[in-house]
Amino acid sequence: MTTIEQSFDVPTPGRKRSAYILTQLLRRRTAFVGLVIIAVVVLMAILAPLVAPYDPLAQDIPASHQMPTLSHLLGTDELGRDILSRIIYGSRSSLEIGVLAIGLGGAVGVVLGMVSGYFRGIIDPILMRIVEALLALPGLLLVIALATSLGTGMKALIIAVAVGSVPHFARLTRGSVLLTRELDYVQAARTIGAGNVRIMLQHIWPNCLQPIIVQGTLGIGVAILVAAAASFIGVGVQPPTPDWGLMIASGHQYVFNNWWLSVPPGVAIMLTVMGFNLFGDGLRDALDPRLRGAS
Amino acid sequence: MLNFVIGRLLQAVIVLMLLTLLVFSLLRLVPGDPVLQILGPYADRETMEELREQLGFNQPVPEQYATWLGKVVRGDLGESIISRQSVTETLKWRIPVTAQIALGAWAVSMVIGLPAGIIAALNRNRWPDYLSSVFAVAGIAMPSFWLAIMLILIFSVHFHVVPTSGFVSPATDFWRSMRLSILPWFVAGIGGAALLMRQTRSALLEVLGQDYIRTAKAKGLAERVVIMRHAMKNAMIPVLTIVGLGVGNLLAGTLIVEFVFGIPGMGRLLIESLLSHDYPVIQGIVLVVGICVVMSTLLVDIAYGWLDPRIRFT
Amino acid sequence: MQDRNYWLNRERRRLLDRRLSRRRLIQMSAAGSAGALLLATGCGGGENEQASQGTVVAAGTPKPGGKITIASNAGVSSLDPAVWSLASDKYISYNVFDWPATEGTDTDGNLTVFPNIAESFEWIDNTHIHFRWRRGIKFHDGVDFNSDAIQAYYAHVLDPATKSPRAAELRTLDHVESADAYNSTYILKEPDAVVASLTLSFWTSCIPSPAATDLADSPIGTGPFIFKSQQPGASYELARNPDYWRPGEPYLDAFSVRVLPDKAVAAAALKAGEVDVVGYLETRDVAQFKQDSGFNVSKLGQNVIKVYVNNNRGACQDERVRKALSLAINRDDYIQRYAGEAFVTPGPLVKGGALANPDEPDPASDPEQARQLLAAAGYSDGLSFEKLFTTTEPTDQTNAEILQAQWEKVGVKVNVEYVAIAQAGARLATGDYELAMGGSFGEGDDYELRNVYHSKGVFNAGTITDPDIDRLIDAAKLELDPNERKKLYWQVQKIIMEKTIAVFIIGVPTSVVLAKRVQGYAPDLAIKGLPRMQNQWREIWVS
Repeated sequence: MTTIEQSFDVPTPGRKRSAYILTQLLRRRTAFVGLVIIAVVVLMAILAPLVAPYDPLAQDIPASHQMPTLSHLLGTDELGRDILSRIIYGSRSSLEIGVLAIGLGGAVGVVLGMVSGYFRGIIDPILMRIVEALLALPGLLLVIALATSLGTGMKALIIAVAVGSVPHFARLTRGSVLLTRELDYVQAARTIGAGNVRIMLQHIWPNCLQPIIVQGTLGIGVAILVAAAASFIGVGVQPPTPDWGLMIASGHQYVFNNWWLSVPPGVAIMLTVMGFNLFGDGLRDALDPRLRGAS
Repeated sequence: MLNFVIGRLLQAVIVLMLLTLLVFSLLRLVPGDPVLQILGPYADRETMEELREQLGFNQPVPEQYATWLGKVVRGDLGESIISRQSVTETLKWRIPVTAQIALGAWAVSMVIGLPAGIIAALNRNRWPDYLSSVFAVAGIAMPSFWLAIMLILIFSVHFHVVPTSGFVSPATDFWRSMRLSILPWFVAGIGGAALLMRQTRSALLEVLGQDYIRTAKAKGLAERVVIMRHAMKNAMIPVLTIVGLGVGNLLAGTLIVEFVFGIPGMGRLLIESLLSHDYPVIQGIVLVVGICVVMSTLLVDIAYGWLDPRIRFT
Repeated sequence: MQDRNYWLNRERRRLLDRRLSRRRLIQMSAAGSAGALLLATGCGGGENEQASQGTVVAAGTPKPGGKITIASNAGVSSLDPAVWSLASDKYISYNVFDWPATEGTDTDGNLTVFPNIAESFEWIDNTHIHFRWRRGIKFHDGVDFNSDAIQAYYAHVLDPATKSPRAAELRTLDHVESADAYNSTYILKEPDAVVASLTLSFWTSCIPSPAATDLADSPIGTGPFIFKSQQPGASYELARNPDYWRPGEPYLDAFSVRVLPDKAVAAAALKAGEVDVVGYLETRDVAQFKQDSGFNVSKLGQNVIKVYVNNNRGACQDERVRKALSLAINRDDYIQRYAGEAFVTPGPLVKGGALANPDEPDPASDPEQARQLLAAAGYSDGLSFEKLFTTTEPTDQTNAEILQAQWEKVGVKVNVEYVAIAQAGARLATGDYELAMGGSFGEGDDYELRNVYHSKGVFNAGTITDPDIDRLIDAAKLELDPNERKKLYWQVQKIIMEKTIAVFIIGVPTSVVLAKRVQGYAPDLAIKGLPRMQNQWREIWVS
């Protein structure tokens, strides 16, 4: 995972700060492009029934394997289903997996990191070793390993990807916590006698937020890639759900003659992940004080 | 320094233990009956009981773990359900194949990533920088299995430049082996190249912005000397660690490449075994990969500690 | 059966009339689970040869020499005959080993069993088969072939300690006794007329050398080719056996097997000339190769895609529901999906196969009537099935998706579960399903009759209990005349079709595509002939 620099200052009034971050973001073309892409994908997912010209599950076998034409802008697949519609609906599958997996994994990871970093003691090394053990099985490998127990399908996939993202969030949060807990005002709060939970929520958590958000954004991109690979192999989303990875897999048998079955879904995945990556990078640069002012 | 190394070693051992625990529990958490899997649908009750006894499924779980671990340490990874061959034997064939792809991919990412990153950093905000950045972002975002299919379509089917798929050991036919490996190396290495390019660029930029660089320039040293002597060395430290820590991603990348290109390495065996529920093989491969990653992380940690005195005393 | 001389003369005649003899071909099945079970819809067609429409490969005199490369859709599970469990093992093993007998069709189109390394065999009574072994055959390691090898092999696989998948397949075989080096008697536990063709054939009875120590790494048999080397999972090399017992064969100097599980890549490799033979391409791709003059397409057989219905669970206990499921299917769509090459057929004795009944009517398609039947059965609001399972093979996935959509139109919702092909057989054998979609078994339609529809069949597991079917199949097991047996099977099929015990979707042809230089493979329509080729390449030569 890319390193994420931390910026610390005494908490400033919320509105002024977010306004500043926003302007920083919009000034960067790449981050703006990323945001636009994400917005398009999200809108596609939400408005799919309105935007898609056909039902993604409607088969029309006599019209199968058709090249892109005016009536089917991206052609038809092996069962005569409209590829454009399936791409549009496919965004739902990818976003659902990405957001849920990162949300779940992020939540668990952050809690682990907080506990580990704040309380130190014996919990810290133990939790960190567990995290390292999980890290030893990268991405797709972990999903495959977990598929033996969890089986296949979207639910299992989300859990597997979530588990894979836990270590990253845990380490990140722990790092933030370690730095924050030494700050003066935190020490002060302790001396006054504030409870641990209160300190964690009020003082430490806001300072962890930035890297977590950046990691979350980038993580969604990674999650979508891993999920697509898993579906491609056959251990992820199952047919006939419209899903980009699955579309590449089923189009694969015909790809040398009917390239339009596999090319659009791959482009869709690439653009979506790029969107999240560009936006995440932009976010990170915007939040990093050392790059402030630099283009 | 010695304390540091010992400390890291102990940590690595604990991580390995946890890894074995994780891998062991994979099989135990499977729904259904593994014995039925092994013997097939025709088996009668007594044979099933016998096999259960033999495989130790009747023992309490901690005992099973201990037995299994003991075998693993001695190199006995069990027997494949499908082929009845020792998993260790099978892996002996497969590991060099995967290693060939992984090493080639690693070389590709270095050869493309490092120079691209350096050029980008030196030409900041000019067109080489933008070009490299676009390439990097695309490279990270592209699904590798899709890229593999596209490249096969273009280079094998359309232009017949390389054969479509397969594998030949370099010992058998060196040049054919190389031709067959070009596309897999490229596909497996492109993600790493993109990441490396970005890391190199940002590390070098950071170093170039430092005071001592300005001092060196003020002293009148030629730009080139400045870069070579001062900037690169220091920039390489974080880059090196990224390279070392990327082993995990590299192996995950070779997994999918093996699948698409039909290369008979560990990765493809893992996927086949998953689909046929050949648990001993799955366990064996996952364990081997995990150990590789832990080992490389350990080496990187030690190297980092040696290179950067500040870290040693964390 | 016939006497010794008949078989010797036959061989002589065959050698003389090389050009006119007919080749029977068996589908190189895509994959299989324990028991050579084939549940993938893209494969199978065991005994179902047809008056083939494959292009006839030019006649010509076979000449020795040359090498070909064959594509295999999977790696090998094991090269040890006692252990192997995947159909892809056949590519190598059927050329390294020989087996006692083969089933085929004689000049009158009747099913008969032809001896192989057995010189002859005869039924002494209905539980004793006597084999006389050929003399002068040697294993690749120089050891003589005689009844020692037979004893050793069967003792090994029938031994429970070996845990061989063969033991279950050879259930009805009790043991083998050998009077001397060239005479053995197979003693059965119970009468079983088909055992000669099925259980003593290639899958279950490839005979290895009794002196071989590590069959999984170096298989040693009596076959036309000697195993040379392997890159496990990728390629296998075999070389000509100069001392093969059939004079003149094999013609090829060598052949290699390349593992290309990806059908699209296999087609590309074939086109590029990297491989010479592919037997598992999609129908669409085959259609394209038919147009290409650089290739010959040879029909292998056919396969019925069907839905096995658990007749004893849930809604399908009602015959009307089963009938509705069959009527709801739009078979034209399936024909189109197979590029026009598929055909409507009753089942399980597929049209054009050796056991086919030309008078059995096709299943009908009538969605309106389907809806009426469902309403009559009480499901006018729709019907929902929890699980239909099929394999993860892409071709099965496509077929399942089509089925789902078609049934939905009559209000039947079904959830599809995809199971790896290696597990499919085991899953079927548990009987724990409402519906299961698959293709024909690789062992022939009568194998399916006996093992699925008979209540004691291995793959029945309580899903079908019909006393009439049981009675007829039991009678068939005792019937030694293959043609009378066939008529009994016809009656079983009639019951299956009338009561819609299973839902038969479509018949699919299976073909093999060969590069033009590969000769000697195509079936000859002129004369019905001899033992079909079981992926054996001994009669192949290159031009």
